[in-house]
Amino acid sequence: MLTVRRILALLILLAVILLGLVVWRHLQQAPLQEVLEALSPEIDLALDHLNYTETQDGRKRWTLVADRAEYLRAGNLVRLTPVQLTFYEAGAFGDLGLTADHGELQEDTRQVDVWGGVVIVGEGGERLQTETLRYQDQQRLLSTAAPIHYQAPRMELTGVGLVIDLQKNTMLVKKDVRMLLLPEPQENSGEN
Amino acid sequence: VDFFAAADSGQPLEITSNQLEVFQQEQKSVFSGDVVAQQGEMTLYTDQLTVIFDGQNDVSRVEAIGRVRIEEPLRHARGNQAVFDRAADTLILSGNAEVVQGENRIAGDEITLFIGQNRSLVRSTDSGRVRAVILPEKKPESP
Repeated sequence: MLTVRRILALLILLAVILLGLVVWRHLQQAPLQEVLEALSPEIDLALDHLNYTETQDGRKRWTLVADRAEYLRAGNLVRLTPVQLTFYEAGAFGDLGLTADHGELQEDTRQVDVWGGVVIVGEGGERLQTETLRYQDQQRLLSTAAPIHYQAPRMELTGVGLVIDLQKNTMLVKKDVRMLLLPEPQENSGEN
Repeated sequence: VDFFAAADSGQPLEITSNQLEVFQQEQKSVFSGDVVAQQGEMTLYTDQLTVIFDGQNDVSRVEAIGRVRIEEPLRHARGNQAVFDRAADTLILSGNAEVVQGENRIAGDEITLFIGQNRSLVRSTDSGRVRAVILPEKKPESP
């Protein structure tokens, strides 16, 4: 007959088995350190769907979105692929949207380097294409040494090397400049 | 004397240069270094060209500074500076300004060309004089 003492013993046994099961299952999920070992040795941490906004005086300055972000141990660097950057209130340029295949964010200086199919689109439909671009947050400068191709309504501009100053609202094309200004489409000008 | 009709504003305007600075706020583009601007059959050469736009990316004013040379099939012009103002429809050449068409030549300190009216005004400042050489058209020789 099952005495009270026997039931108690059974219960204790059950509890021990259950606890063992929990510990064993936990051991199956390798500890964080081992997960990290699974990433390449230079990476501290990897994140999916990064969405980061830099603000100043309570106002949004820029937003960085990346499908994948890898924090590199050395250099305080975050490697991003692909990259979407939105610059808010970039002076006379309005809001600017930047996309690129790859990017790197320097955490301390907030400098972002992007490369691979770099495209910037302005509010008025302006479009700038190049291969590499650097954004320096402290000076609010966008710059490249690569060829650029800029299109705006009835205007096309090509050149080599560019600096956009988001504070001064200026754009400098350094070399081999060609600008084409197209006339108003004929049927419009006929009506004026 | 019909000036700069070759610069057909219905044609694209192409500008090349060594460098370009765009001032977004003022809608102003400053081209510098071996600047060449071409529209239709007119070509302008200068050291620096400032193009000012109105709201719709239309050129409202052009200022050329430094060794300005304007060339068309039938005539050419020269000066230290040239300012094209679309609203006034004028092109003002200044600084040893000169316009040559075939053997005809006018020169002065400032030449204002009223483009739509085919009219020009030559002015000289200080003690300089306007100089104009207009050759009569040769009469066909009687048989």
